Amino acid sequence: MSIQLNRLSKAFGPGKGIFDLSLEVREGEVFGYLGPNGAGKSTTIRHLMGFMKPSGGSASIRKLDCWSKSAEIQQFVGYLPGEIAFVEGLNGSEMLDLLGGMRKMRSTSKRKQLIDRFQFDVKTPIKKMSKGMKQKVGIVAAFMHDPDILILDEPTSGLDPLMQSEFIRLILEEKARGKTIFMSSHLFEEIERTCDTVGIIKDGRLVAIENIHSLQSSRQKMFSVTVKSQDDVQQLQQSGLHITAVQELTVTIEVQGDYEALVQALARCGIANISIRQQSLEEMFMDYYDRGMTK
Amino acid sequence: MISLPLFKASMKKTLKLLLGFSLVMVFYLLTTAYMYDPSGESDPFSALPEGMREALGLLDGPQTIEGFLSTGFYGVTFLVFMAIFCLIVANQLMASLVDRGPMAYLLATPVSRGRVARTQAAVLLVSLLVIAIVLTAAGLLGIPGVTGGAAVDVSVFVQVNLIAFLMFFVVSGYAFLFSSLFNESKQALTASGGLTLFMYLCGILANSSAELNWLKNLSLFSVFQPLSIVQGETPVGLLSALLVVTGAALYAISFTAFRRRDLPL
Repeated sequence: MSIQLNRLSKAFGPGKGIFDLSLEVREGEVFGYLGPNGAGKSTTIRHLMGFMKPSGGSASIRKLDCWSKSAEIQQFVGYLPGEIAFVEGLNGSEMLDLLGGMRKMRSTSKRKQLIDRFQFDVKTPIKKMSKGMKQKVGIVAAFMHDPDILILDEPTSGLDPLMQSEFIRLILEEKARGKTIFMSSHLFEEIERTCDTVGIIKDGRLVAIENIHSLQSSRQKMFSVTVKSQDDVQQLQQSGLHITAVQELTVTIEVQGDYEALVQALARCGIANISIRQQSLEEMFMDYYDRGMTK
Repeated sequence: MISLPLFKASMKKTLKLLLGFSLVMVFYLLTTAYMYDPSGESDPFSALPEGMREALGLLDGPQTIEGFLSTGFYGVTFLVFMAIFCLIVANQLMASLVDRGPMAYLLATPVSRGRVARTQAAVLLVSLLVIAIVLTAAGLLGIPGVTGGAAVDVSVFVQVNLIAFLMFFVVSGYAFLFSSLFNESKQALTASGGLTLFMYLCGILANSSAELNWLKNLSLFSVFQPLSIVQGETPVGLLSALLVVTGAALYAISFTAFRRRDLPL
């Protein structure tokens, strides 16, 4: 087992913190950690990095306790913090030299490769760097020692779409090389393209842990049908289909498997337009949240 | 024990302040020495009212060059510069890295928290030592020149600088402790600055009236009485030992506190 949380808890005050988190990430697995801002994603990661001591339960990486063995764990872990802040007065290259020196790294080949790949000038003073550029230096710092386990807190924030795709390609390559990746995000797209398993956290509690493939296959399709009259709208509403939204003459229908009922209902209406899209993971998670709320 | 790459990077960052403070203090030391008049007739502080002279610890008209510098340089200027240096550097070596976030990167390497703290402490101590050595050397080599040949008693001058260095070892110790304890630079500076100012004011009040004399027991700065060292009334060996133990204890507590606390990174 690569990463293990065992009833990990940290209370910051009434109702604030993380509570009873238990999850496991296998060697070679890519785990996506999803949740809205303030749900407890970064707090969980701070425990994995040994920045915080749990008030209950434990976190471990390769059976080493994240709090008491944090320095040992860093030998094979690469970390990208959620907020990028470098030592003042250094440029990117000096910062990477410092971190490489503290790691006693000899080879800089992977580092050079990454810098070429993300295309930035490492000699830029940190003060003059844009957010995206700092993020790139952070990514290089996390990957340059070719770690077996990567812990990435919101890795693509600040990157432009082109670099986001480049980053996702990097993750997929590392995954193919057998790396274990724990990645938090609120961008469902990057999680969907990279992760095997998704954990959803809300208000400090794990709401669900799901295999991404079973999530994807249980995914519903959304038909947006624009009909010709108000009568047609009413007819669709009475047809027993699962209607999620009606906006003037456009009716959004959620379908999972039962296409015949849809076709029969639509045959009775005047149709101006039909567009189909898949439910996004975001909408699926909203379902999870809603279920959580009504409990 | 320490991480050499981190030591170099932190030393490099401290270097500008170290050079600046060293130069300014050497300049003040030699300028003060230049005003020395062996006859004692042109005391530059004689213009100050009696009460103020006493409050600042400027006693009777100086005799020797060491006595003159004790009041003219080590009494006020030196204390203020050294205290400011300790507070700023201690703050930027620990609290500022936690406050702004780069500590997260340092701790994401196999260098443990204890080792990071020891490395940063080493930077502070080496800086203080450099200032002490530079100042002592500049004094011994420069004073005869600027005073037109006044003989400096090497042993006495070194003793004054030794006690001064060790006292600021203790000041840097509590500044480093606050810097290791707090999440924000502002809090760390408020705590260490507040304590320093409080002790300094206690010293001044203690000098200003006999009834308030007991206040001197609340001030660390009371242990550094350069005039009394010059007159041979300070047990330099014992005092040195006490300062070393106190300073070392403060640093040891800082390391433990930093290892055990939650970091908001």
